[in-house]
Amino acid sequence: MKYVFGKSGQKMLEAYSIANTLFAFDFDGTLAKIVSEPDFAQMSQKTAKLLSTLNEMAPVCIISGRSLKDISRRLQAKPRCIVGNHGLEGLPNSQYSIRRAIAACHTWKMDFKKLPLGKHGISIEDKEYSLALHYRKSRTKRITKKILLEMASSLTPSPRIIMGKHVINLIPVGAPHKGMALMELLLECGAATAIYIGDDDTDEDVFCLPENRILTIRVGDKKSSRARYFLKYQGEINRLLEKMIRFRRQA
Amino acid sequence: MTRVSAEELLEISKRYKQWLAFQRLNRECEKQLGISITQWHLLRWVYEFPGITPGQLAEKTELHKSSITPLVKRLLRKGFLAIETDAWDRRRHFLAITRSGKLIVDKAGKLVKEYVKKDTVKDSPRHTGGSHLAST
Repeated sequence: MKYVFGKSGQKMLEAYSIANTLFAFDFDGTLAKIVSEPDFAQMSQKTAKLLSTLNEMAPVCIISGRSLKDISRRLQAKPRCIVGNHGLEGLPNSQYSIRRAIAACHTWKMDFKKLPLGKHGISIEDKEYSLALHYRKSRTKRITKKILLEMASSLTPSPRIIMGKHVINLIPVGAPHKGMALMELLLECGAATAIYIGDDDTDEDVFCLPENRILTIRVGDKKSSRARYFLKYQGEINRLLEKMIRFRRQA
Repeated sequence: MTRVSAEELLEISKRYKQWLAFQRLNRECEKQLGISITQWHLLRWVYEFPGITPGQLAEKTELHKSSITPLVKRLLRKGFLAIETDAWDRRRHFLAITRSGKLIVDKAGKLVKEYVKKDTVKDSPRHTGGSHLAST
């Protein structure tokens, strides 16, 4: 991974920004800071303003792990597309997977309801089509994570487990992921290329795509990530948005 | 001896004229902007698809891979292209257009448009006597 504000990174960013590009973002940890209570996550005023400016110039999409309803109310400007539940919600051709996802999530929720999770600082976020097990408030995070993973792997139907920052995401197997969502959005928007910025393990579905027409940027440097570029920390998102807007204007 | 029909002759003459027009355009482009039409064509693809690899570029432009390398090198030297190596596979390179490359694409595009316009006028039956040829 290279630093996006390095010499080659800036050149690539400019080349992608001036083309027929779709600008796609993850929400938590990318546009908004990670907070201890997921409900309080929101974009800063400056980020919201910059995103809205970019939205007027080019197609902007948000692909988040949150439910569509939840993410929609956190965005001030209405972007071209919003996709929720890690790619499950908001895509036009996902009716079949949605029905299966609802059934699977209901079964898992029933299994977890039997356990006293609240006592151990665990909360379940029901996103209707997927479940998120938050353990940020747990005092013994490592042990809690281990127990939750053991439980998750014994569920039926077995879920696809994606690790996040102090969260374990349970997604129905075979459901569309963020990578698939982005590919579909590219078609939908008629864009030739895309820039995707994300911070989490769920974003690796996009970073792993064998598509060099997608410029991938990760918030935070991580050796094992397949993203091509990185931002040092979330606060740099404003600088990135400003650059994109400037390049776009100059073009 | 194989006889060439009037239609075939007309077609050959049309293509020959197109080829001559292309040569003229190429010379003009090199004189005014310092790039050939082939280089402009290549730049256009990189502009449309940033991150394209030289192999993909060869496919898109229908040029041989071996002729892409010197062309890309020339454009890199001129500062119209930027190149980046894939961190996961050092053999793979991504190409992107620079600001000056984009400017040259636009300028050459205008030149090509003007030329095509002029040539269309020249090739019209009134200017070339094409109507007479067509009737024979």
